[in-house]
Amino acid sequence: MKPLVGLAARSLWNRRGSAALTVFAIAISVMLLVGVETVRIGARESFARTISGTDLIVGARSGPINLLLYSVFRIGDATTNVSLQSFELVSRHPDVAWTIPISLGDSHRGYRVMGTNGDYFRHYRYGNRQALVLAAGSAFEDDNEAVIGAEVASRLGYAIGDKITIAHGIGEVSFAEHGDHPFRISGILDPTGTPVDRTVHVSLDAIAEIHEDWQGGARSAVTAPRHPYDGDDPESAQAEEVARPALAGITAFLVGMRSKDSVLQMQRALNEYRAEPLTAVIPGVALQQLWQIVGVADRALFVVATFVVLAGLIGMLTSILTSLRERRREMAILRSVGARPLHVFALLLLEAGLLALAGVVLGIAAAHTALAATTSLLASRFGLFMETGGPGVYDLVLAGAVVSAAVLAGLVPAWLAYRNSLADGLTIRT
Amino acid sequence: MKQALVRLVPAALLAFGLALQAGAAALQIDWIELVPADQRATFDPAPPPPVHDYLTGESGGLAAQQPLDFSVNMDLEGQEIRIPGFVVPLELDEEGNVTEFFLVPYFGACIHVPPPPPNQMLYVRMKQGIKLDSMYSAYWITGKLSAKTRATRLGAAAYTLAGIAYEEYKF
Repeated sequence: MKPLVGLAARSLWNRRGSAALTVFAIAISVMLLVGVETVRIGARESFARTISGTDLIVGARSGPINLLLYSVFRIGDATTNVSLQSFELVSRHPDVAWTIPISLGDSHRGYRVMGTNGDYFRHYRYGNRQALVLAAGSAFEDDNEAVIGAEVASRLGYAIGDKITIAHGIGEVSFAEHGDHPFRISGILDPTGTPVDRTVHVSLDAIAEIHEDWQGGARSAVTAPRHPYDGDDPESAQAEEVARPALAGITAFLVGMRSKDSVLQMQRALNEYRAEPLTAVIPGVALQQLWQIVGVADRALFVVATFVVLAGLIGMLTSILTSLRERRREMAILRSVGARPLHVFALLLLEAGLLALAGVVLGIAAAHTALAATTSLLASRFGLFMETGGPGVYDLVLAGAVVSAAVLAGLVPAWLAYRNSLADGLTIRT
Repeated sequence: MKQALVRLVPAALLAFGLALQAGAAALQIDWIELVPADQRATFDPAPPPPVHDYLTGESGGLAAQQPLDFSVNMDLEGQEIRIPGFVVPLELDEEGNVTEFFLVPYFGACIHVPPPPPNQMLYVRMKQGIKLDSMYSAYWITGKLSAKTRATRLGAAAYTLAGIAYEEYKF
């Protein structure tokens, strides 16, 4: 067996030009298959990990998936705000254990800014009911402090005490900075592998204050410099304290119930609430609805990738079959030094297997290299936090399947070569 | 070696038998059996008009309100049961499997109509999460039932099921 493998490898090496092309074709098809499958599984795990322990997400009237995406994954935008009255009504409800307000719409160098309060750090859970942990510093204590996610800190090189400004809007750059209200970084969160890592957290009051002069849709020049922190005389600062800007509304809020039994009733009551059109969704249900939609595309991609692999294998089959005629002499020589027809059969099977194996190894390596290179792009564009642990068990399964399929396909040329070598013996009749 | 095998085989068979028996011990029940026996004849799944608004606590509201007089069947307390239903996912594990969910007797229990009364839904927790392909599929759930009364604004009595096994429901 072992000498046969060496023989097959050396025979391939002799035809390395066409063999390399075949390997390349298989590698590309396997790369596609592995890429599609890794992203599919990674996306699921990333989404499932992001929110945990929250019973309801409440926002303005929209679709459940839309609400889930913009409130938790920071994908897309809210239709409109939720009034503070509704938020407080739910917060005060006897069956409600906790609420977390979320106010979105601003950014810091492409990272979303989220207005919230201390309850976020106390009650928000991700993964397997893991709480947020501060890697350094503390939660914000006043309107001039911000807590940043792990990726914001590492990517932009921020440390505790650094000053940042926030931009109006959610683009990568903005031409409307809230420059009059700088924030001091008071805390940096531990990495979570969720959109939290890419978020700048400030207090709700801070969101209200930075938008105080924006009621006309752009910053007003008249009322701009009159904040207490601008160093005005103490008297006007005092007046400012009294006329504290009121928050118009929040983007969404998360609800934790005292008991799971009342989740459905609370959801129903919120969805039917007459005073304000609201949408309340159970995160698990919304995620499942998302899978059901995305699942169709998933499956389509998987089927396409499988067919590309099949095309790659057929390409391999073609190249082996066309080489058979030219290699009759090779077979005859092998026979003359004592190879049996069965050896020729095995040789051809091994050849197919080796080609596929090389292609699979190359394809898997390429897929994982490409994925590792695009992780941050996937995270920023699609909110997908892929675990880049390299090839796993599932890759082995895929590799095994492709190589087996290749060996199976190799049966055809192997059988032909076997028959030829029986007929030809040591002489070649052409 | 051979002797060890001889001794091992009956042990394995016994364990297998016990496992089978454990499966068989689960009492297969129908949803109506979750209603106490004396109320079954008069059980009316149509909810009576709301007494007061669940959200605001004001009376005369239009929002959904569970009737308060549903009670649980205490005969089932602590029993291992097997029951078919639909899964309303609440909590997912890191692989996306459903580890906490409501089991309800009909699909759509969460959106279009008021939620089922408390004695017609089960709050299920499973260590080994369900790999849920579709919320439209029904599942057989086996688990240990506990019936409790909780103090919420609903005053709802409720069932909790410690899930042991699941199996897709085939028509």
